[in-house]
Amino acid sequence: MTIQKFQLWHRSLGVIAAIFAVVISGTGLLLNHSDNLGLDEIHVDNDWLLGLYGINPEKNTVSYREGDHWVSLVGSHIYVDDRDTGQQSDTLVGIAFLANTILVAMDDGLLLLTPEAQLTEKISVLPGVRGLIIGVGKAAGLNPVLKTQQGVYLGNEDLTAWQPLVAVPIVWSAQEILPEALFHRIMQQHRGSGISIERLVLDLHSGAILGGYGKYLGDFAAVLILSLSISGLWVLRLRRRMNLGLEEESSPEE
Amino acid sequence: MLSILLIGAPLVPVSGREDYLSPEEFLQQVFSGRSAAINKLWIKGELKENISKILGHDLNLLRISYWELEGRTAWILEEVGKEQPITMGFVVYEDKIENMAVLAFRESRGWEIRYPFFTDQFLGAGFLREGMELDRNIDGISGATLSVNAATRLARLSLLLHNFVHPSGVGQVGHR
Repeated sequence: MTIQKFQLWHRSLGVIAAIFAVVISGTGLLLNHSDNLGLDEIHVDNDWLLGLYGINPEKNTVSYREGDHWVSLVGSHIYVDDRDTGQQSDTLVGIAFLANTILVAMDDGLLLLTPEAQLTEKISVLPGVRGLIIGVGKAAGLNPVLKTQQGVYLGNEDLTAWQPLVAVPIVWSAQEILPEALFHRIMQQHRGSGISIERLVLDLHSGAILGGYGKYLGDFAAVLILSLSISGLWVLRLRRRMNLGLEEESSPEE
Repeated sequence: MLSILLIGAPLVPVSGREDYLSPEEFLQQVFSGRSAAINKLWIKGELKENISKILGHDLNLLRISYWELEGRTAWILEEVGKEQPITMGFVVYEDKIENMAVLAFRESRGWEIRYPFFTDQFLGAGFLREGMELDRNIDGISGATLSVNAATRLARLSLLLHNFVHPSGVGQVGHR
């Protein structure tokens, strides 16, 4: 390849790399001054952007009802009726009412909540339970029951021990559709604590905004910039060689 | 130089939950597979006030479970670093932290606190003779200040809770 062609490639790569450089440097500058600019306190309220983050409530809302109370997973937030419990989870697999406490089952643990959405206890260790929780229910006159892929387990009084349960009829907690009015009340709260500008800028910076593909785009940018550095050095070397060659050619005439 | 800086940028891990150790595994490890008694501690009165002083906010929990065996207590605690909760496990024995581990990390930055070069600083730490401060300085990690602060608060909280259920000479702040 001639030096002219090599330089053309180098310039073309440079133009593409410049786009990445502008985005990464610009977002980097914003992140450096994030606290001063208060970027973590400003929240995004754009449907398309919130959709990118999976805050698409109609698709992601999971709700269960016990008596007059609803427990919902909206995004990653758990609500009792229209109150945010302050608890976050990726899953909600069912609920059960125990005296005046709502037992909320996630795939990896339990929450005990009051009907006023106050967290009584978070239970992350379930001795005797094997596997991830996929359902919760109650057997008549018995304590709560958890279902996993490995079996069904009955909890003791204070839920500190679980034992396998077989051949007992169980009423399992089942998903229901939230009433429209309650859904809108929850949405009003949920959107208010959506995505901060800082989060958005950070994800632009790292490429995470594009989900799984962002990582590969980041890899591409890194390789591109690395190639540019090497090709730049190569162009310098070729030029120096050319100049030396010209000097040698011209020296006998001197 | 700019190229070198930019190359590093895409390699920064993105946000997402990372589970390093389940609470069960942590308890198995710290109690060497032996069965520890599960107890419940109600968060109220002066204990609740002292917890708020350490965390800078309410614990938002009425009751907490802990595990106990031969004077050792184990605690699974959570605290938000910047936006997401960090789950950590602590074992306290004779008013000193005997074991500490990051069980789950959900923030986009600051995951370095899981490494022993950071967590080892807490081993043997207790409260100063008066107050609820650690008896040593904890070296921070550049770019992980909020996670470091959260871990330090949880370490102090584990000592407070242990001292409450096992009152001894030093740091009986929960009982005053």
